[in-house]
Amino acid sequence: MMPRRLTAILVVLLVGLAITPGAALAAKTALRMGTWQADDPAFGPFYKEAIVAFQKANPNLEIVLEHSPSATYWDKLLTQIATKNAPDIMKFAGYNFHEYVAMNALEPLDGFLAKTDILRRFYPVQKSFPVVDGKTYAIILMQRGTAVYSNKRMLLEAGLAIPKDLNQFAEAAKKLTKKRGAETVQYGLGLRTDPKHQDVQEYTLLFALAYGSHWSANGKWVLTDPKVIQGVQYVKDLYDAGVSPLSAQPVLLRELFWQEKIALHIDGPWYYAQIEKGNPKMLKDVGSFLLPTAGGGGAVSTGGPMNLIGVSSNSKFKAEAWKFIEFISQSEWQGKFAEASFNVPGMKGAFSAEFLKANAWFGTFQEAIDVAEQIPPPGFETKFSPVRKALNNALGDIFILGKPVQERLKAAQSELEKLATR
Amino acid sequence: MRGRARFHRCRWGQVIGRTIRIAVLVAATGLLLFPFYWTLLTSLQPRGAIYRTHPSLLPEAFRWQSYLEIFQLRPFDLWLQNSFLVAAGTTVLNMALAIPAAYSLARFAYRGKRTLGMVVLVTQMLPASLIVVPIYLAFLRFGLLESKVGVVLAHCSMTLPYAVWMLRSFFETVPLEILEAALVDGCSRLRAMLQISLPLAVPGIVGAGLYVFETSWNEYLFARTFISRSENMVVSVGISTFIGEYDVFWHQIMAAAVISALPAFIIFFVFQRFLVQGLSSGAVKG
Amino acid sequence: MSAPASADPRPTPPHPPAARRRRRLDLLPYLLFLPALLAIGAVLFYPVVQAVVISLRSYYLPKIATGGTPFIGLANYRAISEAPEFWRALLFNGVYTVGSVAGLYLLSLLLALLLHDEFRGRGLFRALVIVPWAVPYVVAALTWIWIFDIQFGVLNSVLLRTGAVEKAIPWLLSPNWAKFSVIVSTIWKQFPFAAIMLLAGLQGIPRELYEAADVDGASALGRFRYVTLPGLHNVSLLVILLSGIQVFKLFTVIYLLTAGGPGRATETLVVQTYLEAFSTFDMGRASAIGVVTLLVTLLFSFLLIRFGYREEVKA
Repeated sequence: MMPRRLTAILVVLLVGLAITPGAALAAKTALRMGTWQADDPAFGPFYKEAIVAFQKANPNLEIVLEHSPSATYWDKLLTQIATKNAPDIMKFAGYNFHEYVAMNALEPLDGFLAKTDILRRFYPVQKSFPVVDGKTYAIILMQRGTAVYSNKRMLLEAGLAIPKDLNQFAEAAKKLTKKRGAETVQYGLGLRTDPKHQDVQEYTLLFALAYGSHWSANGKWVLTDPKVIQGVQYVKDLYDAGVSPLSAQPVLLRELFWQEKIALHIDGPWYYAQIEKGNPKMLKDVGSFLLPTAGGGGAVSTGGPMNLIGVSSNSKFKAEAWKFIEFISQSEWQGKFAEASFNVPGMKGAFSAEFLKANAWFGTFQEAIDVAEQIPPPGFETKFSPVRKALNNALGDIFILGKPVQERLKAAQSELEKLATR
Repeated sequence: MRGRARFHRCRWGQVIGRTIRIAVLVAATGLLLFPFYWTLLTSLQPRGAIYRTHPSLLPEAFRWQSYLEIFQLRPFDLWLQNSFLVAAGTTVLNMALAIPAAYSLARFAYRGKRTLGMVVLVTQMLPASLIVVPIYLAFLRFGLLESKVGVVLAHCSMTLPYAVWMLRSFFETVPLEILEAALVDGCSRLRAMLQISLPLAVPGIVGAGLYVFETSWNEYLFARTFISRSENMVVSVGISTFIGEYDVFWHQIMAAAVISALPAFIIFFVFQRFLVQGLSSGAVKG
Repeated sequence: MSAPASADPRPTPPHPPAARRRRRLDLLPYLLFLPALLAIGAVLFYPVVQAVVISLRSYYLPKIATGGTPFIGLANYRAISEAPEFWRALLFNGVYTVGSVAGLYLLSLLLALLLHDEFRGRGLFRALVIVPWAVPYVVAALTWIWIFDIQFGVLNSVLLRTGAVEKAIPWLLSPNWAKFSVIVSTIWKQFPFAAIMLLAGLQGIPRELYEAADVDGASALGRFRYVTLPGLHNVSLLVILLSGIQVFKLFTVIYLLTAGGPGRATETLVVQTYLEAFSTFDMGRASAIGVVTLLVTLLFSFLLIRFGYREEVKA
């Protein structure tokens, strides 16, 4: 009995040994990819298509999407990074990208980049924004610039031309606000003012830039600079004049524009698809223009690189993960991404001529890329999250609680200066 | 004369009292359910009717398609299934562990009893954001991520202390004489617990069980941290995927919320009949 | 008159006074408690200990790679105690908890009394009470934000149309109104739990007590004062204790409704913990705030139990 048992065991072992290498070869390597856009009507289909095509071209690789809604994606990502269990392929927003680089969450890609030239047609910003200490940490997937959507019909009715400087802009906003008794039936301009929503500082920044300054300059905070104060005061004055719904959520502003209750709305190119879905009849009345500089003669925009894609430093399949990034950086896929989502990708000239002809409004957003300033204050990118919170709180106090602009910005300045010493 | 007057007073008193009581109840319930009514209304209104300075209190059109869409756009049926398995699993496990523990606190005197009782409660006093990362790490090491078992364990740990304290309070309401009588009759302590205390504390067990089920069903933080793949999600997490980066899909969210609230409502409706008097009183006299 | 059984932490053990038994260490109660303790401990022991440990270190994520996590003693605690926002948050946390618990208790008591007696449709009403609890937090928050919206919210719409107010109320936009709104939303979301508990507690009051009160000629109010309330004493305490612990660290309602604003007016300790951890990435300071939260809650619970639990006398 013993020898027979022993033989049986040996046979099983041998067979197992024979099968295993074969099985290992046949087994797929699963790459985890984290995203907050899997269910987005614009980006979702693109990713699904790209993944299917990639898996076909690489039969031994499989991509598993790990999806979280954008509000909670970052908390989860932080948990995963802290426990060294981050997804192999990671997507980032332009805001907090540098914070994650500072945490050593990303793998430098220079080794992979040396072997390929897919980035030759990319915008120059690919060589500066994702590069820290000489190492490239991500590939830019999408850039954007914000511009002003306008309801051409309302402008025509009010006899207004496209504003060429901020004075004309304010006049237009006020003229386009119509009241009936105590109730406002048409708003001139949608302003984001509730600090609960992260983008207050981003959209107010637009006006500070129109006067000529970002929140910081030369590595220092300049919140008390007259240009910044003027920009914030400009927004406050417009808000107090009642041109905008009171502290509306951005979602509400977007709804109201396509319901034709707001004449001017500042947003990015992705918003067009929402108008299409909500009220396709008004599309013919939609125009777009860049916000002018305060004195006229120029244009401003905010945005820059907004989506980046990289490889996590704790990944066990770095080379394979890079393969996917390389895959979607090819012109064909950059073009698909651009035209599916109405966003400017990392590569230049991704839009076909037909597309640009069919979507004349998009021209403004392409121009925006050339003037778009990055949103994280220059020099303070690695502390963006707490900076954003402090700025939003300050602006909220100014707009909603009516605190005086100069005083409150001064307080914010000292708060931010203290933050730098942590 | 005294008897008859009292009888009349009783009857009128009863009728008026009852009418007032029901009127107050209906008013209170209506007021309390208004936000839910608003949720329901939003799920049925056309989008344009939602944002208005004076929104209408009654539906203008019935857009019931959202109720179908949520099943088409997402694996909502899988989510419901997952939620149910997790909540039921948590409840069963929880009751199995909490009942003996609560009985121990209620009917025995022993050293360290007070401390043990406080210790389990203390575990609940830390903000959840601090607990998430260490638990994630532990679950990662033990392969409990992306699985319902992990979520059930996490939910159990957050509901056990409350269940234990709730059940303890109800075990304490079981009159001592009954237990003593049983023990004098030769019943073992365990049997006394199972056959006498338990049935008499049924309202408490139902209450605690419902609490655990409901907490687990709606729990969001751990469920979303431990599970990443869409088909493994539970309803509470799945609903949040209707909140996009730039757009909120109101109809689908509200429709999903209405459907999500149904199981708890049905279960409670079925079990609330156990919340009745008379199970403990009267037993002493007999 | 007999009363509900004793709730004294040290009741007489219900086993026969055999001298033999008393000498041996009674393992049964410990064994009964053990599985639950293990289940809780397995998941939560390490995190709780770690939170305390980390609060004594410098744990700032961007600096870990270069500086590690050195032990810094009570420096984190000193830092937070010097921040006025911390004390404001602590104060509001207290106000918020007391306001919400008081509100939800009274509401639940009223409902439990109304749902106690038999009447047709009682089952349906009881089930309806569960609805606020059954709605997911995210959806409840979205709905309330909408109801409270200053221009498009139904609350202001009704108040303005009926002439109850002249100007729209800034429910979420003014610091004081926001505090109120947050408490209202919390009460709405949390009361069903208390209502069920009190309802179950009402069932535990023996009918004979009411009958005895009737015989003594007590009015409805008298019955309430001398039978119902005392009968509910310990359940009420439990409800207040457990609700208090939950509400004190309740994060979702406040964060979704106001994110701690406007002007940080509705920021509680829990919101600050979250922001320190997930926004500033300073786990050390976040843990310190968390430990303070734990200590405050522990103190409150201890006092409540110590001075609240009443032994009920059996006649």
